[in-house]
Amino acid sequence: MQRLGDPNDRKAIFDVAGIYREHVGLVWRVLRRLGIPRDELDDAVHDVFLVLHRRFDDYDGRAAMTTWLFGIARGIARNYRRSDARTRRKLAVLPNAPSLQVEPSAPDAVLERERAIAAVDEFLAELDEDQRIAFMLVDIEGWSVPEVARACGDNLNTIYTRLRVARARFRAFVSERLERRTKEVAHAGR
Amino acid sequence: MLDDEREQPPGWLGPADDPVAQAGARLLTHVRAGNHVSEASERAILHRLAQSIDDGTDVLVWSSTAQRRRRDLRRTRRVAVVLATAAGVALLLYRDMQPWWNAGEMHEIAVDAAQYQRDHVGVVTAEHHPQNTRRPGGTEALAIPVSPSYIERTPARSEPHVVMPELRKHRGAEKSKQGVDLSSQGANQTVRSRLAEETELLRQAQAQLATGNVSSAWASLDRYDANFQTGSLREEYSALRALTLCRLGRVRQGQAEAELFVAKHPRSAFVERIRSTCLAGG
Repeated sequence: MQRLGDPNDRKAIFDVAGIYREHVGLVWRVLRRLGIPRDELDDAVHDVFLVLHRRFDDYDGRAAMTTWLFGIARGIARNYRRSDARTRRKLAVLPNAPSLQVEPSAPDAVLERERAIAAVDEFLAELDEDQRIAFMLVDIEGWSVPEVARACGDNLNTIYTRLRVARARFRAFVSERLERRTKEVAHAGR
Repeated sequence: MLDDEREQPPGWLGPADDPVAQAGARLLTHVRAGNHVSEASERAILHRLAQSIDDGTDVLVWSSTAQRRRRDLRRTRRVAVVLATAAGVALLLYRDMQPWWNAGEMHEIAVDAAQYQRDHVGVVTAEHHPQNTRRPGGTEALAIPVSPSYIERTPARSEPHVVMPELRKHRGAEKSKQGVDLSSQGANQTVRSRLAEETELLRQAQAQLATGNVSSAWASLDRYDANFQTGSLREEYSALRALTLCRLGRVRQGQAEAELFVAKHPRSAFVERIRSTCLAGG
């Protein structure tokens, strides 16, 4: 079933491969922060670029490729979450599976980074999807608010409102976390 | 490695010297610097992607197989629900429509029923009939009429049996409840009127015999014989004839006919009565 001789397919592969190399990081992070578990991330990324390949002809270049990819990734993440929720409901009767943990022997900097990532993941999980997207794209990925508004198809002020709420909650989250760590350090020093 | 000391928090997190703002900025910096797809994953995904596109499997392969199966299952379930609902609705509609929709068929059934009744008449299980006993005073009592509970349907036999007009009425009433009147059917009406006439003549003969008016009973039997050479109640006629002959004093002829009757209908309900009346001496 190989169709290597088909120049259009080869071109499509190269097109998709080029886009993939340029944007795989963004897609991976977006999917990660939209709640896809680590063990399903590769599959989800693969699916996003397959959808991109399938709908490649629909892309008219008016929107940025990142915006288009974000839209696809958001849909894929939604599907995964939906199926994941069903799986989790089924697995709920089983004993807890061991979660991914950072190697204790890892260097301090890596450990700290992993902890920070886990903390931000925890925070993002507390937000609803709209606030999470606004915070993730603006404050982590560095998108502008108008870009986010275009990607989400929402009003500019709506994005600002979501962002304001998410930021306030982030500050509260950090404050609480700092307070807890200070107490832990004080407790350990006794 | 990040240099946290030089990290400037964004304005929305708070002033630069605020420890909360600094901690928040550190978290965000770590997240931006890390959390990248590994090179191994990147290569593996690209390899799979190229393979999927090359193979023409322009669907979400591998990872999405389970999802696709679930989607198919959901679709199948939906189709099944729709079909079951449609079948239920069709059944309800069919049931509602049946009275008028099936009127033609019901008519055919009624005609068939009339034909069946003509060929397969209800018979008296006379052996068990309570009236089938000798009455006080030696009067013979033939089991005409009887209640439907003593009737059973049996295939046509060579000998005719007692036909119950009451039964016909009863069945007709049942049918009329369903909106179909058997009496309206010409064929059935002919059968019924013929049977009614036969029954009436024999009943008359029986009553006359019971009251001692033997000659009138004989005349009634003659009328029956003249009109119903192939009647359905020939067996009853023969029995009454034998009994009447004996009562008339034509004992030898009566006994001959009685013996003929017993030979011909050994299981008839009248055998015992005939024996006790006509053949008691023999």
